[in-house]
Amino acid sequence: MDLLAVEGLRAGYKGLNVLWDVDLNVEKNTIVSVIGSNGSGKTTLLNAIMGFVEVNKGEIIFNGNKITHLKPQERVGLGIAYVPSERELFPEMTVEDNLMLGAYTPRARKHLRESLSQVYEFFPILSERRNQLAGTMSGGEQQMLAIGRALMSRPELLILDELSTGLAPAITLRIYRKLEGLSERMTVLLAEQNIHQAFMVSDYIYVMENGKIIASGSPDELSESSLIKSAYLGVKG
Amino acid sequence: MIHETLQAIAGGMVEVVIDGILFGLQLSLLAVGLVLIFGLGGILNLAHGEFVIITGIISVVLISSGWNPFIAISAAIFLSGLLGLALDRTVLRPVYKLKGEMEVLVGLFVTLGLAFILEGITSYLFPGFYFSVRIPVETINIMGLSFRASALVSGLISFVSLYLLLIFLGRTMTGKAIRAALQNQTGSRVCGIDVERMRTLVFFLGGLMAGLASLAKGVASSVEPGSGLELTSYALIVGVVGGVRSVYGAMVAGVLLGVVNAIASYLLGTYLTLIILLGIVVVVILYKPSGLFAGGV
Repeated sequence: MDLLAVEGLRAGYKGLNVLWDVDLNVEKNTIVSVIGSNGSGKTTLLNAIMGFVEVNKGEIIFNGNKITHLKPQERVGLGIAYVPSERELFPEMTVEDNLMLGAYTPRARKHLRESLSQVYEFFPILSERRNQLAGTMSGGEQQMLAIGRALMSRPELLILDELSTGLAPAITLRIYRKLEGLSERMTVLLAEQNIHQAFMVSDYIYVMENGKIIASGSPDELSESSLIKSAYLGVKG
Repeated sequence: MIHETLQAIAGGMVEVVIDGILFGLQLSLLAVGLVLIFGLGGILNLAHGEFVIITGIISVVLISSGWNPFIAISAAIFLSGLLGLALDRTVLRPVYKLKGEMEVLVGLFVTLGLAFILEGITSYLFPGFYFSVRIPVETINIMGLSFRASALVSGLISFVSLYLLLIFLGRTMTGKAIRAALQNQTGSRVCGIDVERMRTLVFFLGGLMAGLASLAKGVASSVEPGSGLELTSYALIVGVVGGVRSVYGAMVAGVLLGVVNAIASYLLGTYLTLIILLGIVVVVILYKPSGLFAGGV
């Protein structure tokens, strides 16, 4: 069953479309990736799903309900969590305050303490740094905090944008390994420029170019596609 | 003889500094409302001082109508909060649709216009009117030093108000959400925080703080129509020195400037004191434009 469905979506900024008739489905308890080069529209798609981008046509359906015109905070309240590529942390607040704010919605606040210990268990470094200001942490630690903050909302759907941006490959790999375990509990949708990592963790992949989905399939299916081989995997012929 | 003279001067200076701290707490209370509103609303509310005046007027009108003074002043402070909320929900609504410098500039002129209108109305309707809370005891002696009881009570009101504000911002989820929205609005929305609702709440809080500043000033001296812009200027000076988006900055800068104000007034007189305060603002703008204590929301 689809947890998220995007149907014929046209969206963009100031009336100009960046996305053109995008269709995307995310099944429950799977990891789905959107890959594509820089400027292909991946972030705009995620921003549209979160309500940060104006939708000009089409629908976004979450758990069977249309959410196309809801505000971002209302979508969070329904169980969608978002980790933007810029992380958008609160730099002058402690790690723990950042995490607690992740459980701001009424549905998450009821389980605040339980979620906090789960996140600390998931990312022990955050527990060690709980009183440190978020702005003073390293890039990798900030990324873990951003994911931890998103997990605090006890989401059904976790959306991650460009997880690997600005991070050392080893740290990205460590975070991806952690994420693999998450799909038992929740659904993950991620946009990633690093094709190899996306192929490693995903159950299904969408390929974007110029604001359109140009291919989709399982990692095995896509790795056989000549288009993907030549354009993304560096394989000729 | 020289020893006794030096002791008297030192004692006098201690009194001056403590007086400065008490006045500074009033300044902090006045400035935090302005800083909170600018931090989240992006609007430099030049009508902030008028909220102080209106609280004083409402208090006196209610007391004159037979209300219990405590209830009357509490109601007036609450109404000042509601005035802030009304400002956010009405005249400033179109301003929020503007972006960047336009929002700041139009916001400045809208609130300046509002300040003139409120000053005109209050001066016309309540000429020669003043709000002052009398403390039955004139002076209090502590460890051989003598202090005005009204200044001590005013300082206490300011301190408790600021402390409660800090507790609210630091310990409650709503307070944390306000601080979060002050730091990062996209990040706040990602957490499910309704930033617009937080902004309205901040306007209410800003009005409430102005109302409490009215009480503190009414206890220390008096509040009268026509002095709103002067109060706004003091709040601006404190805000700029502390960091115009920093609540903690406003609190610390208020006390610091209060002490500078008291020492300069004691040694040089009030006219030169204002020049010194403005000089501090210029130096801060030149060398640390974000304010001395910017960063700690």
